[in-house]
Amino acid sequence: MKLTKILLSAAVAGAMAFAASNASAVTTFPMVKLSLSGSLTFSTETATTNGTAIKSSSLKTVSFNSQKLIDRLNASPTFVAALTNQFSSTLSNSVPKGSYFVWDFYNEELIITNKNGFSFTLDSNKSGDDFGYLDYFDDYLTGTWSKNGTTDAGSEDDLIGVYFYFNDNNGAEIESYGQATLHWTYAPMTAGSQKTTLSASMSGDGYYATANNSNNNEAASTFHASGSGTATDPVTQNPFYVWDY
Amino acid sequence: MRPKFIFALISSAALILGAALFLKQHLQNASAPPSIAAEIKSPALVTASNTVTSVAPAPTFIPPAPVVTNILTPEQHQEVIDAETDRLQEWSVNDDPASLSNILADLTNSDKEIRVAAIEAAKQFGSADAIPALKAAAETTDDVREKIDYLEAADFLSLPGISDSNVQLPLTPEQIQANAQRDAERLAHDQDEVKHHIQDNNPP
Repeated sequence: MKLTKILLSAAVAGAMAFAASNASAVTTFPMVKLSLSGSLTFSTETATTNGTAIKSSSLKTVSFNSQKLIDRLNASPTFVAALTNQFSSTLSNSVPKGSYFVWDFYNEELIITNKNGFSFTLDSNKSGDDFGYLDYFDDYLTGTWSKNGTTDAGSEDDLIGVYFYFNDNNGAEIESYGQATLHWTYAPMTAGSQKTTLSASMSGDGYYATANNSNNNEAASTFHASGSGTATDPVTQNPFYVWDY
Repeated sequence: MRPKFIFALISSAALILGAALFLKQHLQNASAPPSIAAEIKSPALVTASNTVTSVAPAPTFIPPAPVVTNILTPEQHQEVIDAETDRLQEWSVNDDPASLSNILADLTNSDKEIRVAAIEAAKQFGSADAIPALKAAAETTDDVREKIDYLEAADFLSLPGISDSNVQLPLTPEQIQANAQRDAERLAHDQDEVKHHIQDNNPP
């Protein structure tokens, strides 16, 4: 009887230890507060007659930054419906002032959030409508890193391919491919985790873009984003470059 | 003979020691103490003007006032930069003149990381009022890359915004078909990405 109890206790302790080790290995990454900017150049493709000559309208370039993208979303009936659906309230029909973009790096999601608890994921939201995301390409990842053999503190610099997509579902759509630099710093390890800061900077050129559905062909766009974030990550996933491969 | 020799030796040694002490004291007085440079200096506000209001002053050399600050460790220095970068991000989502002034002041900060963050903050603030300050800041640097960054930001702010062109036109049938094709391509790409993540991050 006594032996059974000892074995049972040992089994419970083993299970708890296994669960704890698994819990500490949960994947987390810094959420990067991102500033987005860029431009779109397009033709309205409306021909005008001037005497005997017929010509198209001139190319037009417009710019965007984070706030202007949010303004476009707020002006989109589809986005307003998605917000209302997300929060089950007709009062939640626009992004609050002072909101900003955050890049959920690992899940490749763009989130609009603020300090007062507002949070809306542009792609994986309840509406099923996709308003945008920021992908990275594991296949185009390379980097350098160094760590202290005792404390595991260190830093890393990676280069990686990225793809930015934005769609207000109301005429504005941007697709850009580019390259990002990821700068990581790791603080000394404490109990299998370490404070990790990720600073990202990226730029790209256009694949497809339209400001108001008016351009017939692909328009040229440029895209730039930068920002940083901090989290407590498992030591095992740093360096990211090595872990991801 | 022996006491005489010892006396002469002691006298010579005392003379050499005295001369050395004298020289050391003299040299200390002649050299100035090294100045301590500040890690982060707050810049003066940038004012942009095309009007010349005064002629160049007479070339008199005014020695810089000694700056006494604490020397920061690399970690403390990074904390200062991070804190200012956070403030710049907060100012960039406001739309008041005070926030813009703070952003423009950091365009000429002594720390390059802060200047870079200030350029981005000016773009995010989105006011054409920042253009003269960006152009003026471009004149203050010999770093070609940085000069381009200032001028590109000024050009960016001179463009109309995407939110100013929000008149939606109806899609043509060709556009509808092209959109459907792109959506299908994106979906396929997303599925590939998910598959790749799962393959990569599964334990062997």
